[in-house]
Amino acid sequence: MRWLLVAIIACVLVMLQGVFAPGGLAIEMDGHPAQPDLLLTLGLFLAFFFPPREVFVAGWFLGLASDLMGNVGRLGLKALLFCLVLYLVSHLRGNLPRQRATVQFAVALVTVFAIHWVWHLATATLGGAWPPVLRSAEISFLDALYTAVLAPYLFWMLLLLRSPLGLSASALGKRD
Amino acid sequence: MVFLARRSRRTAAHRGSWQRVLFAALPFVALGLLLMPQGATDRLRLWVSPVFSPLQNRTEVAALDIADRMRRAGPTSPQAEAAATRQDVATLENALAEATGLLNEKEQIIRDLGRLQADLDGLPFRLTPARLLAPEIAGGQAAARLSEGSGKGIRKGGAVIVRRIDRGAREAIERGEPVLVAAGLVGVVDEVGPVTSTVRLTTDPRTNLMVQIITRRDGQWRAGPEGVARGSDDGTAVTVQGIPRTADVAVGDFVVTSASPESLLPPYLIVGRVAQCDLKPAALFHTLVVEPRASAADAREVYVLAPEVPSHPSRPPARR
Repeated sequence: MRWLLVAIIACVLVMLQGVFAPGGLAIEMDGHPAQPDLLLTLGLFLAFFFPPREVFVAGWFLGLASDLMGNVGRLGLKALLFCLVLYLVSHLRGNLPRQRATVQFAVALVTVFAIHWVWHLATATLGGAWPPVLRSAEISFLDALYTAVLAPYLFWMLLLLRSPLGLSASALGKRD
Repeated sequence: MVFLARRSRRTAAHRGSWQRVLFAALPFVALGLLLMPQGATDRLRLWVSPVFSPLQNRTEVAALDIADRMRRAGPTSPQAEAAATRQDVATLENALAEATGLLNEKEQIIRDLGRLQADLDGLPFRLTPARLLAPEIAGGQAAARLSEGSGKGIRKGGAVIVRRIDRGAREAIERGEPVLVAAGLVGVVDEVGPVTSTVRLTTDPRTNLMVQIITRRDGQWRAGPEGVARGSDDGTAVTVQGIPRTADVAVGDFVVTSASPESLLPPYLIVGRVAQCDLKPAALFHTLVVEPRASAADAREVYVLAPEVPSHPSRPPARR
């Protein structure tokens, strides 16, 4: 993995998500301003095409960036969730047709939903509160749906950078 | 070539080794961050905020982007230019009206502050301006506290009894200090974080204040009896107990903080006015329902009143 390039891409996504348009990407759905999780989508891309250990490290740093971008919750929670879930995805990817948009959509939907829901529940529990299970599930699903819709486009754009990122033919799933 | 191949192998081995170290260490680092106190987390977020949100600033809400409104295309005909100029004049007039509104709002704050400072003139107190934060941006603890309610019988539309202000230990805010608006007492600082603090409102059932009734009879102001004020059970009003049944109390009388040395708050801060005065036949004391003079729901800018010199650390905590 070309770490510098991944860091630059992550910076661009952070800017898109939080700096130039704070809330600008939000879509109001059912009383909740759904936001795409672009950093997690980048993490999923890495989990699809790079070695698990590198994915683990990259996921940790992406999660920490995501933690620092928000105002709420404990630091390190997303870092932990990102690295564990992305590591798991990178281990399970072998049987998946990763170049298909439908697969990218489905994996992004499930992963983002799982991470966001666990994060909501853990944040409420660590804050000493009773976790609002159904509402947080609904919010997480809306975020996951938005992210999943955007995921194939982001994957396509990132795949255009496969040579600079150092992706080999085998990494692209042609031998997996 | 051999040297390059060896160097490449060494680099790959080196890279593999640091990845193994990171792989083993990062989960523990994440756990360490997780166990970090909320105050340290807030401080860290504050430090890195220029990196993650460099374009956000405190003056954003007061900024008028006139240049954006007056952007126009290149040179056109004289008629079109005249129309565009008229449009610009209208835009500037609108911006002026908007700026006047903002200025009035700020002047109101300055007037409030001046009035409070004039009242406090000569007394060893200082005022720290603060802003009540909306619950949804008030940070993890406040968000958790809000969601706590649903499991404990609190329903939509219920009263909010705890708020958060954007001032904390960094501004030498201390627990137990009163939070005011010009109209009167809003609440008492409860928990102090590095950059924010929670305020327990006067309507919180856990708030206990020593108060005094101020009456006006025949044009004469009189200091009345003292009692204890606490938030009502539904969190919408304040009840005062301990007023003897022989005391002359009526609806409309003022309730202020007590001047008694036992009171932990500065004297004569207005809490509210008596809205209801119940006296049961066999009761020894009045039960007064007081309508708070300063509503936290309407207030945005508040002031924390503190002793001029920060109190000694050995001061007993002002638990009310």
